[in-house]
Amino acid sequence: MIHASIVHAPIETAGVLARVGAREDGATLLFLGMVRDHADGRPVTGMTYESYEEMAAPVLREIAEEASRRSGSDRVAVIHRVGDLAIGDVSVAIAVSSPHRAEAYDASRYVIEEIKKRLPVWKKEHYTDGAHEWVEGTVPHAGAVSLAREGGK
Amino acid sequence: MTGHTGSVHFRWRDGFFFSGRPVSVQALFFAAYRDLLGTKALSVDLPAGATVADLVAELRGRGAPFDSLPLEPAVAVNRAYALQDETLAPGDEVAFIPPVAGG
Repeated sequence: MIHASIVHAPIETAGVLARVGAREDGATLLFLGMVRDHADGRPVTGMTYESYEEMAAPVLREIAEEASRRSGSDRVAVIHRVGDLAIGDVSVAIAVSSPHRAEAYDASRYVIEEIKKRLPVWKKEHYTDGAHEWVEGTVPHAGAVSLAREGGK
Repeated sequence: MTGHTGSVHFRWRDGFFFSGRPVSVQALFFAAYRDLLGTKALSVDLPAGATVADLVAELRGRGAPFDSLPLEPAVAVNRAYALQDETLAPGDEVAFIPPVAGG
């Protein structure tokens, strides 16, 4: 069952993993994106994630559905957290399972790469000196997104 | 690009002369754009037939800090990414999407 959601509370990774897996699956992967303590050599104390939630939720679901079509497995779960996160907190969790490992690795990688290309989410880094900055992101391309949609069909 | 701009102006005049009803849209600003403009949302009236590009031009034409918006920012119309030449309808929600950084 495909699952995609934007949440404000900490992500229970075991729960994400429990959403995938089937008797026919020989491979299960869990990817966790985490807040690290540095950015370009600058010490970071935490991160604030913001989303355009009304759009991010359906876009995340669309990405999960595309990954499912690519891998041929509907065992895809992705959860993205927003709000104030501390070092080591999980910002995104992606669980996938499939009969063989290649499809699972491909689907997992696809989800995180597409999140970075087009999920309307932004993050602000907080530094030890009290300063903060929006992380330089990727310009989402309207044409590229519709092409991805067509390609996935 | 020149031809594109020309056709937009033509449509603007069409709107004024033949239908004349302005199109009111809701512009949303997130993250760095919200910080830049100091506002999350604005209601904007545009001539009938106006496109995303026309909305951007109207906002940038207001001067600082609006003129710091990109010439062709990524936008979503009613929560789907849209091209600059997409025509806007009354009540459309037009979100200005700064470069995304999820994950």
